Amino acid sequence: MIQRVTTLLWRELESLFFSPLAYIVLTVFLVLNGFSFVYALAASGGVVEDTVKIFLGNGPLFWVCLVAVPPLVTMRLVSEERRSGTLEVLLTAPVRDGEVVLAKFLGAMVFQGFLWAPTLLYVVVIRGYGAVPEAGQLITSYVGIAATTSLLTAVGLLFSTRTSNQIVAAVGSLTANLLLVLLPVVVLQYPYAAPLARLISRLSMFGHFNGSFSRGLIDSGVMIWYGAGTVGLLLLATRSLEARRWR
Amino acid sequence: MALKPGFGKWWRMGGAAEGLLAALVIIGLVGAVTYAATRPTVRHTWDLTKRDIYTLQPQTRGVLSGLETDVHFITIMRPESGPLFSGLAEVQQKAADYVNTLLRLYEQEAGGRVTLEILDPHRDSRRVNDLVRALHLQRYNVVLVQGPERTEQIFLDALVTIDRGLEEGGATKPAELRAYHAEREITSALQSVGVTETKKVGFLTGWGGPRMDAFEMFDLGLLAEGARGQGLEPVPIPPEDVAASLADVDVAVLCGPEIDPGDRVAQALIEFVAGGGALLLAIDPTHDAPGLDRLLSEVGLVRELAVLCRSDFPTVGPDRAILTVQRFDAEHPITAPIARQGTFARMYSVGGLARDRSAPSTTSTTPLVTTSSQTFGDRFAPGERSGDWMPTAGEREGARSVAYAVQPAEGGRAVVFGGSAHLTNGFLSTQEGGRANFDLALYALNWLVERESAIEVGERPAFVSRVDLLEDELSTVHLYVLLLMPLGGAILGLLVWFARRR
Repeated sequence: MIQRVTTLLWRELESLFFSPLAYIVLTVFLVLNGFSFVYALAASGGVVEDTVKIFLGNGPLFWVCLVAVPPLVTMRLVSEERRSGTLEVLLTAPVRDGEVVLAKFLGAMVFQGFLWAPTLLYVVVIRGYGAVPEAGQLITSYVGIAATTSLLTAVGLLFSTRTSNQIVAAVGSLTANLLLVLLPVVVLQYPYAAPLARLISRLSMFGHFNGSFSRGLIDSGVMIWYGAGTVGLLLLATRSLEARRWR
Repeated sequence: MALKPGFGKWWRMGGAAEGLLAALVIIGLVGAVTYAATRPTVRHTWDLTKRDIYTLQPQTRGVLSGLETDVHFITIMRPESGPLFSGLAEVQQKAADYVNTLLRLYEQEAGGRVTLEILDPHRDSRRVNDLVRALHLQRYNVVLVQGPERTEQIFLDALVTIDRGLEEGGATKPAELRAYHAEREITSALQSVGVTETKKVGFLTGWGGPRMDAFEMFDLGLLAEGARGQGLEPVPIPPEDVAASLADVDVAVLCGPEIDPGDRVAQALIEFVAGGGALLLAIDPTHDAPGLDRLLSEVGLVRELAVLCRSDFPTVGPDRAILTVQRFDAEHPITAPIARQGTFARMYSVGGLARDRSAPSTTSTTPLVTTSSQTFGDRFAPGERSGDWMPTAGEREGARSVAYAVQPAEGGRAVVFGGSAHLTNGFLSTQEGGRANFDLALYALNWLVERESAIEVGERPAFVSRVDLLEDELSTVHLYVLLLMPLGGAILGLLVWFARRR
């Protein structure tokens, strides 16, 4: 199984990294993160802990990148193959549907890791001016980004398996991501949600960053929510691929 | 052979139903796993912070594992709006987030004995209002520690040290979080709410001056409410039989009497303290009371019969007798939290106190609050309530102590103030008085009932790294992050594109 997934993963990485869209996404992503970092530096008044917290957890552009990039990366993963007809070829090959989904998911995650990696250089830049960021806070922030990205990528992959139209897949997964991120925040503002506040706050991605990742904490409860959510969505994506047999 | 018409439809519906069922099962499983993982008993938090500020210390774990009663934490946090651009609200929010996170750890570690409720005064206004009424809350930014019998209130100021950014001369600098000591206070409170006995605070009444159950500016209603908020029971002690009534209380409060209580009451109080009772005495310098002077002498203090006034104040009249005091003893449990905050108290018509040289050396007397050196003692003629408020010949200028904590080798504790106005409603409300007035009063009561931090959990200094960039340094940062790095991404894309074309 590992060999088959590895072969499929290389195929995915090749198609992701050799696509011009990848570098357009990278450039736009770095511009947005550049502005996000400059904003964080100004808003924190130079306090390094707060700069990291805003840049990797509280800043508006951070959330734009976190929510919008997975749909852009995943929209073509299955939809494009379905549209161009290569999906049937792939699925008639001696690989399981689950292996295809897993390889595509891992490929998307590696690519997004490639997008986020240069943001570490911002920290290197301010270190040159005497800033001493907390290593723990940086580690947990990036763990949070990885966990959130995995969940949102799984959402995008599920939508990509449902349609042959990339735009529909992107809009669908972006809407779902926005709901996942914003709904708990909006609902928590209303007094009638008070009895459910505890439950809702457990699902709040903002809350996860504010309450643990941006503080240098890793909470097993939060990590299991992201892990279970990701696995559940990947299983649903696999079921969605299998469902083609019923059509 | 062609399929029978209609077979395809049923086939597809069967597939859809099976898919739907699978989706529901998967969603149910994810929900169940997540729910199970967030149970406090199985949840674990890894603290990667440099100073382990989110790691409970062994003393706390010991207290939590030995808890015999259920304890409920309620936090009500709302940052204050400090001076413009001071950043105080942001720092208080950061402190509140820290406290809430720490309390979650208590909940996780307590194996179900501790529950946590985080309230937002705006969102949960009904619940907050109910608590304000029921627990006599005086202000927000508080953690309520509720045991089966009593509730303790811990204010944010006691949980963290915030440099509020105030400087001499009214100038401001950015507020900053200095240290975290919430664990010490919360663990102490956890221990004390398990105690079922309620301590009584007896207010001596019938001698004129401020009343314990009234809310006019110069009454003690807020002090009594504050004591209730700390889980203490304020009771009146009528003048008829002071000695018998004192037998039922833990702390006696005699605040600003206008009539001399006389030798009989003074003797009853002396015996009460000698027998282990605690005394809060606030005696005005304008009040002539030989009996109380004897009581003062018994606890090892003498007072100066002069109203302390500011010598650097540009106006004339009684406003000179309003002192802003900011020098608090940094070691004593009553004043250490106030000293850490750098806040101030306002006192009015207060007199200086000093240690009685004839007091036994085994008695510990600690000056808690000291005025600035620009203070003089305004003397007045017998029978008068004031002098001329101006420094004249023979009136000594210099700093004085206006509050003492007394702890004899044997017997009860005492806190003595050189005046009473700062304990009255007008000065306890933060609008009129300094922020520290209320804290000073409540911490004094808590110390008198021997409820200072029962457990010594070390504080953790806040780690603040700051980078202040000059304009050209900032331009360089902008050049790197806004231009060079995105350009690098674009060039990489072009190189890949060219490589693919070949």
